[in-house]
This record gives sequence, C-alpha cells and structure tokens, in this order.
Amino acid sequence: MSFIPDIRLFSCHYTSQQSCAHEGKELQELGFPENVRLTRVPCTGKLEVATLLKAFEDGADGVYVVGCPTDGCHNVEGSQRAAKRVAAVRDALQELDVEPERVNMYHLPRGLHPQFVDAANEMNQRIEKIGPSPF
Amino acid sequence: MIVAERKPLAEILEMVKDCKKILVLACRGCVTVCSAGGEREAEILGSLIRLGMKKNGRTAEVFEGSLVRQCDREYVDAIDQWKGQYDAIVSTACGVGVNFIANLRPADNVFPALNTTFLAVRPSRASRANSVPAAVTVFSI
Ligand code: SF4
Repeated sequence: MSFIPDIRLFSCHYTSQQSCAHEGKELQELGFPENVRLTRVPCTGKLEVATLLKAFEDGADGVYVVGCPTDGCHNVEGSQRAAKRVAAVRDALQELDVEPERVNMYHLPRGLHPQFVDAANEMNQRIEKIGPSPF
Repeated sequence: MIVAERKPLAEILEMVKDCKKILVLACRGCVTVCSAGGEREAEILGSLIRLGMKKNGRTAEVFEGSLVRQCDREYVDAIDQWKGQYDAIVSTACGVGVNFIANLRPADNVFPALNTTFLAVRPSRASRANSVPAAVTVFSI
C-alpha cells in the first residue's frame, strides 16, 4: 500500500541557506518532495535527541538531519554532535522494535546542489518502502 | 560519585504498563554528571515512554520534573508540587534516590529507571591532588 510519508528534515542554516533562497522556488524546480518539512536550526549541533523524538511523537514517519561535512562544519564539531544524537535515536528506535532507518544523518556541503534534493528523495523512497510510523 | 545507566526500555515499559499518569523524575546530582538521569535524559525517557506506550496500544500522560537531589529529605519534599498529578514516579536517580523516595512515600508507586553500576569516593583532597589511585575507595556493584 503506497502512502505519502510525513518526513521532517532538520538542517543547519549554512547548509540550507542557498537552497531556501527565493522561498525555496529553485528547490521545488529541482524536485524536492513536497511532503518533506524543513526546519532550519542555527547549527545541527544544537539539536537534542528529545527534539528528534518529539518529531516522531508529532506524527513523523521519518526524520533526517542535514549538516555540514564532518571536516568542514561552520561550528567545528556541530554536525559531528548531530550525528551522535541521530545515532542515539536510531538505538532508541531499535529498542522500541521500530526500524532504525526511519532516522538518518547526511553531511552535505553548502549551496544549492542536487545532493540536498537527492537526500530528500532517498528518505522519501525509504520511508515509502518501510511504511507508516507505528506510533 | 555514582555512575548509572538506563535500564532496557522494555523493562521500564513493563513496569509502567498499567499507569495512566507518569512523572519521570530526574536527579540533578550524580546522574546528571554521568549523563544517565539528569533533566536531559529524563526528557528523552519521557518521550520514549510515550512512544513505547503508544506503540503498545496504551495511552498515558507522561511528564517530566526534577529534584536537586533525590537522596535528601529537604529536596524530596518538593515532589509535593506535583501532588495529584501522577499515579507513578519513574525515577532516573541512582538506587539510593529511588529507595529513599519509596521509603518516604510508601503510598506512591516508585519505579527505578536506572541500574546503578559504580560508586566511589576520594578519601581526601590530598589524594586527589596527587592522583594516587591506591587511595581511592571504589565500590563496584
Ligand atoms: S539520588 Fe543518587 S544520583 Fe541523585 S544526588 Fe543522590 S546519590 Fe547522586
């Protein structure tokens, strides 16, 4: 059964700045899925495990984080911290007997580029395949 | 100094499966330092209990609070601020805190969320300055 997943993306200001310029028009033209809701944060290192879990409580079927490359984070270690928290959420989902693939971390360079859209499509396809959230 | 770690989630969910109003109670003492049971961890646990119960087809009101310490009477009295709002307390303090609350409040359901894994003291400041491991009293449990 196909369904339209509710996907939440948390991205750092720097990685998504150009992608979101002009109200995200260019992003749409590149095929960014409409069902991916983007929340921009000053730095992904600011994201808490609880913030990602709250997204699931709020009805998300999948959650992912896009931050700077590990060796080129604007805030030095911000995206590495985010990756650790994403890993903690994966472990927690596993403990709840829920597919850990529902949460993922991407490290992407700044600017409007196809990988930003590819990541969204990859998550979208992945969650379509896994199915709706059990929560 | 006490070190602890969270119990497996399935174990915690089993303890609270029939509860309807759950207070996840953090301790701002030792377990905050070892990142096992402070306010941040209690917030995460609260979220996981809500998700776990929902997945198991149960509903409960889960909220979080914290005490300065759970091993001191003067701080434990602060639980009164949530009077009537819970039918169970899930404590993220070490075993000392959980048992102290359970002793002081026999009418309350108090459940432990952590396994206490280690405790140790340094007998004197001098040994600390010299970092003499032999002078450290260690209890491993
Ligand atoms: S209750 Fe346990 S963890 Fe909390 S301050 Fe007392 S000894 Fe430390």
